[in-house]
Amino acid sequence: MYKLYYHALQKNDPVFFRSMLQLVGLKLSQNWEIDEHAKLILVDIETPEGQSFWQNPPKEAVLIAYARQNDIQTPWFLPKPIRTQSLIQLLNELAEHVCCEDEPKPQVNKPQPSHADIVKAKASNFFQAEYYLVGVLQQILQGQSITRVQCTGFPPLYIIPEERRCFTHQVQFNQINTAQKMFYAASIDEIECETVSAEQLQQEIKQQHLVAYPVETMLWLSAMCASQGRFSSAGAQNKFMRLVQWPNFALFPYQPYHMNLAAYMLKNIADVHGIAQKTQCSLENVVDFTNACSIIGILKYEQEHKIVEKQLPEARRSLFKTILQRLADTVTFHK
Amino acid sequence: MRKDQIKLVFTGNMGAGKTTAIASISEIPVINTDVLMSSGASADKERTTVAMDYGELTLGSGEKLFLYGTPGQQRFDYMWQILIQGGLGLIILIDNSGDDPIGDLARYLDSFHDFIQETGAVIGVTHTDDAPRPDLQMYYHYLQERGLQLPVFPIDARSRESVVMLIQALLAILEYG
Repeated sequence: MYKLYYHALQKNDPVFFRSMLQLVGLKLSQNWEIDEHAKLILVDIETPEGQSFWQNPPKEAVLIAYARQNDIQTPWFLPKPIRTQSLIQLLNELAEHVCCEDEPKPQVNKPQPSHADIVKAKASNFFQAEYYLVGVLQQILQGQSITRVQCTGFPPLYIIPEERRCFTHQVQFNQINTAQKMFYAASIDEIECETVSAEQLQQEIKQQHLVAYPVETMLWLSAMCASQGRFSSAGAQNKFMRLVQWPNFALFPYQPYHMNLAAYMLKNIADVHGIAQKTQCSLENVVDFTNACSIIGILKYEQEHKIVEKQLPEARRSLFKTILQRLADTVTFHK
Repeated sequence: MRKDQIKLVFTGNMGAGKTTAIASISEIPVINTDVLMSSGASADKERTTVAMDYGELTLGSGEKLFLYGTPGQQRFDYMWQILIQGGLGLIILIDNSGDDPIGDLARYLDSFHDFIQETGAVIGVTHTDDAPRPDLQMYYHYLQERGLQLPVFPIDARSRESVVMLIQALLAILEYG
């Protein structure tokens, strides 16, 4: 993931810039994200603040001038107002000429792991996504080919990387059964992938009445099912973390406690033990949740923890519980 | 209207689905004061709510959870501050097929700023099938610019599951956020 940030943009330009970045995403040679720690910084040099920043940039920063004219003749320049074509051209050139100097390009074609490695990964105390369906999906998304993912005894899953969509039989979010969970938790040696044409896919959609889902739905499900309460690495249990935005629970099967975890992790920075303690969730459930959030890119690790103490009267806590119970009377949730 | 009522307040622009959302979870038929539109803010909506919607849900304890919907038209916004008094939190519904959905959101965030700071809010975006843009990321970017971390979910106001999801998120914010 390539990173950039901005400085001294005026009025609605930050929102517009972020939206444009998302809009042109499919036409970029690399994936880009806004990150306040990025070395690449877009600077509005038509403002006093921007001009000052331009004169005294942070160490190692690479600045991109944002102005109506490139009067200062800098090599990295984005004309105002932001247009898709100029943004695509700029970011693709930056990816090729600047970012590659210090950021490794994503690896697309990894060698297939050996059977011994897979057995080891399944028995491991750590969750290594690349050995499971979730890793297969991530790898397919780095390419451009429409791919059929098949696991013996289960309906196929078709991935369209460019549209970040997939097609499969309808998933009843509140009735995911054990067999479906086995599919979502499948290991890499149980999965077969095959490239299909757009015409073939259209035919399959029609014949099998397949339903479209955002690919994030499958990433979430497969991470949740394969994680099995395992940390992603030895150090993960001591890392401080937070969410950068809410999981889209309209697209993901969820348990009510996932809401509590999301609300807590949006407000606080803590390790998994602290999160489990404050939300009264099991450590295993917290770990599965954080693994899934990490896979869909909404989890961020931080250097320091930050806890906002909240005192809620017991009567209010009890009231919320009563309301939730009442609402759950006719809506059931299953993981 | 007693201040110690247990109540949730639904707000949002005209046609966003406040009445429908309340109806989807209320155990009584929604009581509202719909009238024929005299001049059209919305060409495809013949009736609009001028005072408020009202629904209720009896809790296990026998207490009632009151559900109020604010009038959609801004000329009735004097009612808003009355309706929110003592409310647990705010559910904002935005019609994504409107002319300026982000602008609509801004208006509600401004109007209910103090109430949201004191309690909490969730945002449900309706009609996303007909109008996919602005997408959720645009809403999140806007909220981030305002320093807010509210949840935004695409919803179908007719779906009980959707409305329950909004309330679950709101209560999670009030308890853990």
